[in-house]
Amino acid sequence: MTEIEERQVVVFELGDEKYGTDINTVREIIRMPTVTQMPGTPEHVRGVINLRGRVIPVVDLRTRFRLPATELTADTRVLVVDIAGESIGVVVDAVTEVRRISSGSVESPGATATTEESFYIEGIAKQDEHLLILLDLERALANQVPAQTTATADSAAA
Amino acid sequence: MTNIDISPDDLKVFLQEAETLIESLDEQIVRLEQDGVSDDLIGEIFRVAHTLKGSSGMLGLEDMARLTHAMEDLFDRVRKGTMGINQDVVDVLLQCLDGIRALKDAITSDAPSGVDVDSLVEAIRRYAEGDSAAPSAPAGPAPLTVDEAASHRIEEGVTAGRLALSVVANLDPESDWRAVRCFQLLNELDHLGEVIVSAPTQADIESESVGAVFQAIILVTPAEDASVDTAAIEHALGLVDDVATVRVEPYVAGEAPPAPAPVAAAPEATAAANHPATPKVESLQPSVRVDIEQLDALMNMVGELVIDRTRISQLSRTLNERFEGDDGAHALAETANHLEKIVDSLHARMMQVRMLPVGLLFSKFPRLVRDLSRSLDKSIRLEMSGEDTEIDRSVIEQIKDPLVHLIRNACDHGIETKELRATSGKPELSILHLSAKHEQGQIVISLQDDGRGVDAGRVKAKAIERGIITADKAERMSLKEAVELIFEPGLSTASATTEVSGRGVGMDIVRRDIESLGGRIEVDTVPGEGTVFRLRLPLTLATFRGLLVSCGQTTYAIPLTYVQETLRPEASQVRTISQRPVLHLRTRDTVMPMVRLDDVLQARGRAGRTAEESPYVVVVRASESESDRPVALAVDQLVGQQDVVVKSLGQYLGRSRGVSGASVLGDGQVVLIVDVPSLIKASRQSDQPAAADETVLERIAS
Repeated sequence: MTEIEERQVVVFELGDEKYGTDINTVREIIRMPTVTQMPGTPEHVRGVINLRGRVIPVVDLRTRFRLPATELTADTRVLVVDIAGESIGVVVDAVTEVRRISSGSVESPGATATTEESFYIEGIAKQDEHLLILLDLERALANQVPAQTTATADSAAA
Repeated sequence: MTNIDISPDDLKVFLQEAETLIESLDEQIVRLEQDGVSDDLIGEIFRVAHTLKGSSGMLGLEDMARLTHAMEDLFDRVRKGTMGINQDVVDVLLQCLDGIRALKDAITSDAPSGVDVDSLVEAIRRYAEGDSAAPSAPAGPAPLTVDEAASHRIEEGVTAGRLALSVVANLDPESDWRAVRCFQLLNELDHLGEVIVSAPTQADIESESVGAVFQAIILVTPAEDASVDTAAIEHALGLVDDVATVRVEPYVAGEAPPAPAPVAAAPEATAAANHPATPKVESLQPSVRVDIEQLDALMNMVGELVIDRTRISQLSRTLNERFEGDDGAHALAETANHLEKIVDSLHARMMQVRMLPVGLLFSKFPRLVRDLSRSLDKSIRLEMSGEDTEIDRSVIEQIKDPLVHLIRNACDHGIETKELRATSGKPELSILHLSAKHEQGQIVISLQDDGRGVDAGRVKAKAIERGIITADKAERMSLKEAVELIFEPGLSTASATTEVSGRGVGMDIVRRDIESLGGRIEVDTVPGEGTVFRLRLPLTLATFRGLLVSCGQTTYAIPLTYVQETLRPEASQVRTISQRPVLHLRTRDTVMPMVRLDDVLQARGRAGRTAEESPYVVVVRASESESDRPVALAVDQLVGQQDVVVKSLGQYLGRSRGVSGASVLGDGQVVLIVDVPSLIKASRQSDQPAAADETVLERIAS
């Protein structure tokens, strides 16, 4: 179609920030279902849910990003994303829109981001008045999680 | 890498077929050594090797075809009685087979196989004596003959408006694959029309009696212009490798075929003429191959249907209570009933489809035992029974490693050296017996050796030395308990680790693997006479009968096989020892630790109730064995029993202690499946020091 590289991102809110993640990683967006807690998992794993007969884990992105926990609202949504061939639910405060972003408007996270953040922040997109933080959800969730799982299991055993 | 010019689907079919053929050769070669050469066996081996050679050659897998070709030559000599079979020959044959397997694996892994085909072929040639004449250049074929029956069929065809064509193809005389090429030509012609006669005949091709010329007469249904047909056929045949020239022209009855003149009619030619060639590789089983992923996907969907069925039945009941006498509600109930029946039988059928005879797994073991006995210099024979016993595919996959370990262990440690057997008056040949059978809804697989048995004294000494048990406890252990210590982590009775059994993986891993399947392992031993290991396995991993309990907000499913009893304890039954609650079962005269289910699991958002305050307990036990003591799990509610469909939790969550999976109830609620053995272990670890505690418990009980 156009020569300028453009991509579509799902825009969601977490606290006061707006985040975006590539639409190709998102399989579906659902309302918050009943969650069954899973023992022996890291704190940011809320538990497991029944997604049309499949049991998939649900991760709280607030806890993952060390933001204060909030009550669930009518806007709370779960992004079902595919990570390493597995579906994982990601709880966010709200999903606002699907937006086209041209590569020209994206800047690298720069020195302000800590090393951990720069690992899963792909870039910052300037959109009208505000900034959109582009997340690599696969990295944000997949990395560290296995390590933390082991750590929790160990401390549980101790 | 070999370049394979073939569709992925065809390759898949070939790989599956090759797998079956290799496995079957493996088994048969070992049998050949064990039982000696018989016409049936060598005939069968020859046939399998031939099929493998044919299909690998056809795909252009030259290395694999060369190896199978060499093996086939050797089998041919054995078949004709010009050479015998001994251990060394079998060694080389098995090496070649391993090479073929590696070549096959290299196709899928896309990595070099590292197989030195030349030296393997050379090794085989050395054994096939009298190798002066090139074995791949056998006597020429019988020339093409058109006998009476054939001419009659041609005449009939021509009368019916079909066209008789004469086909002559010249093959590269240097090619090693002339038989395969002829086979391909014949196959190609069979697609294009009806083959009336061919030289070489199908039989010639199978016996490798093939020259450099291929001739045939076929009947085709003509297009408008006969020249198109001949050109199309020439083109199609010309695509076959090693074909130098092809000539196709109308066949004129009575006229001599346009190539080496026929001399005498070979009887095979007549036979082949009467049965139009069916050059399809014979399938080993009269069945359809189904991709395992397809099967798993189907099973998953059926699992979901089962859940929905339960859900719909429940909804129908609710609606019928609410709208009693309503026609619609009544109709729904009837439909729900019918659906229930259908889904149940669909589920049962599906489970049946997933069943495989355990022999598929067992067939790998004769080779293993043979190699082990060779390298350990022992003489061991593996006998098997109950190979027809069927088990769920997933179970078969997961018991392979444990069984291999047990067999290695039996050969290495269980069975004595030849010298030792001689001094204890045992026959040099020791028998290892592997059997499978159904028993009360379970599969029991036993492995029995006639070796030295487990030395309970040594096991105890080792366990004390490693700090697994106290000397005091060892004193009071029964023989059975002591023997079962071999399943403890960190205990290996072999004083020297050998190449065969290695280090690291031990019986504890075997037990863990079996238990993670919901199975159990038992051992019986008689010093000096032998040991038998028994694996008790569930028929399937996909469903099980579970007891649903709830603790706080969460519902859990406990596999019924681990549940000893459930009860509502009276205050007098609950006591405290070193500040920990215990349950005293007067009827059984046992005392056991009592823990809240959600406490052991370290579940978040616990109700905060203590074990003593909980209204119900479920007494669970990892196995019937003496050393596995029961534990009382305190819960808030007993929900009921039901069939539970196991859902995987995936990799993301990692291995969670105490939970083996999840399931979905009829109302859509997710329940966690309790992994009883690991839960009991966890509860014991929080109970340290276990040895001291158990002593106290026993004292109270007695």
